[in-house]
Amino acid sequence: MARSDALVAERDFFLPPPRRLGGLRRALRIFVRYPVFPIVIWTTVLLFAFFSPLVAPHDPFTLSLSDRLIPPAWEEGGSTSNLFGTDHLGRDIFSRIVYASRVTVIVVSVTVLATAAIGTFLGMLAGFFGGVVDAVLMRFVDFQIAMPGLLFAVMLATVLQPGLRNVIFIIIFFFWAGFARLVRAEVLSLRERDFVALSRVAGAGWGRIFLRHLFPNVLSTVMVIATLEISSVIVFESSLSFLGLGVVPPTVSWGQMLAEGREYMSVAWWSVAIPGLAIFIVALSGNLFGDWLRDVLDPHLRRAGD
Amino acid sequence: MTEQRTRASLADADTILSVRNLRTYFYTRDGVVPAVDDVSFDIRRGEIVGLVGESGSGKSVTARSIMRLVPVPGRIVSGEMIFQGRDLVGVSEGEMRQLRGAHIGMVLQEPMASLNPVLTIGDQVGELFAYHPDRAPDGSRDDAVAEILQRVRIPDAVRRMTEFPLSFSGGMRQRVCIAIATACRPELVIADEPTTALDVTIQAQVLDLLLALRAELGVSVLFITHDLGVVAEICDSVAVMYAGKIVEYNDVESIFARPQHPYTKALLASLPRLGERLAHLPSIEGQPPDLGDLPPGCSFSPRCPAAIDRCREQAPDATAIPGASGSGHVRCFVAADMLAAGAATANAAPSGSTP
Repeated sequence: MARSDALVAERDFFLPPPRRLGGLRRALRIFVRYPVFPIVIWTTVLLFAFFSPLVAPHDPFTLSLSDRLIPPAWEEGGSTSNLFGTDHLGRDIFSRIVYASRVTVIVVSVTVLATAAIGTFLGMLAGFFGGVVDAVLMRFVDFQIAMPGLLFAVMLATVLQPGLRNVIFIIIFFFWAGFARLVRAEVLSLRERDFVALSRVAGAGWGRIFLRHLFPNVLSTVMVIATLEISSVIVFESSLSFLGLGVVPPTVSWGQMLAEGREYMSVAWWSVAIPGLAIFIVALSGNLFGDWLRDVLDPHLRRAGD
Repeated sequence: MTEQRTRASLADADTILSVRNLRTYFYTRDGVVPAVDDVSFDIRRGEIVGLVGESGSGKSVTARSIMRLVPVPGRIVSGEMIFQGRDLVGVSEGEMRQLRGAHIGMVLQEPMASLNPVLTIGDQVGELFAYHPDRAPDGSRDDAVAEILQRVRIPDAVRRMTEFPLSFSGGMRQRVCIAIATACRPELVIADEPTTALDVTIQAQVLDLLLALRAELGVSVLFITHDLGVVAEICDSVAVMYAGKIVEYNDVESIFARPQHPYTKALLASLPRLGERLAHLPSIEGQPPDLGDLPPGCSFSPRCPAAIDRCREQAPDATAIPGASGSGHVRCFVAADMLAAGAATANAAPSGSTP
């Protein structure tokens, strides 16, 4: 690895300086080289979540039977007061999307941080010490991989009662193993590296080796998995809510809106299309950002965009 | 068997490390492999001891045993390693951790892989003070690190300590490794083939650096190598290892001038000499033995040109040989017989080749 880093640096040195580009091409290039789209989307979602009452034009919970199933603003019969139209109970869909983003942000941030922490810690233990820790942990991971996730989640959700806290719990339960598996594989190769041997002959204890030598080296992997996991978590949460096992009303989530709109799909396509699109775009941003991050953090792929 | 040597080491208060009858065996599925078998040697203050041998002769396992970092399934079976009055075989892991790095430093073979790619050079040297808080400087850590890097002749140390290993060349990285090994001013540095991965000019610089550090810090060095040229350049005494045993141990002049063991003789004969034209370099016939399946008697006997029947039946014990250190010994029946004959004639006409 160290040797290949040096090789990459050497190769960069011999490449010609980048050419100056015209305005449009430069704009295009920024889009290709930097994750503009995911950053814009996520900033929007975060703003929606933190300032929901300021952003939302209507109260998302007020029923208004006279305003049922109004189409979006650009459709015939739509009005600018309900940008994305209203649902079957006359609630403003845009406002509900805005308020539902809170669930997304909470679920994603809590579960991704928790699974990353648990998975990294256990994966490092298993990879470094091997033996019984490794065997037990990896059997558990095998078990989770062989398990049809959503089916088991349905079972768990029924037992635990739906609700935000249990959604978070179920997602953590299902996602940490993926982290553990990849971190373990990384540590398996890292622990054979000479710098780990050197820190041992220099008198380092296990804690130090873990924190100073192994953790910084697995950090880039963890960050990439974490961003890629964001989209899976969003979809998983939406699936749970869609099945009625996620958050319970009056809390709104995109998956739940999708489920409610399903019955009216034939007459009011927007009641499913809008929340569906929200899930899709935000999940896609996660994947795009993860891909970009992986390219940036992997020295072998650096420069691949040129 | 070792009365003579034991007496010598007891008399020598200057001895930093005294390894006695060390045995490190590997318990593999295919049987017991005696990687280090009855190894004894001393390292005195400020002395550089060379440990020479082919790959797989047990040099590195000896070093790992001193560090108490023998890889699984290896285990120190018996023997003692007296370091500063303590037997390293018996100390606890916690105590050992305090010794590693602070009192016994180690330089590894691969400088390119020995440094953590994601930490700056300064951080990696400064780490030592985190491992050994009692050795931490009173003043600023950065100043201490810069001083340590200057000590190993890294130019522009203050700036370079903020850089990452990838902007250092192989020779510079090995200097950093030596800086890490000597940061806490240890009494002993174990250098496990520190110059093998470097090219010749850089090798010479690293050897000069080790000699300079010995002069500055008074550190003793256990220098592991398979390069006899390097040994001649920097070592004070040499232990030649073959198949897990030290076959000959003596001060460097005696080894090069009067090698006793046929294996040492063969090694020296295979060194190319400047100004000499040879059709091909002499080499030692045959292959080093499989440590898991050693021949009966002396392990070198199948390849030994001087072997007699006794060599194939019985393993020779260590016999003291004359030399400056007084603790030199050889494991060879033929050499022992010749020494005995030589001593007899020397006694008859006391001119005395023994110093």
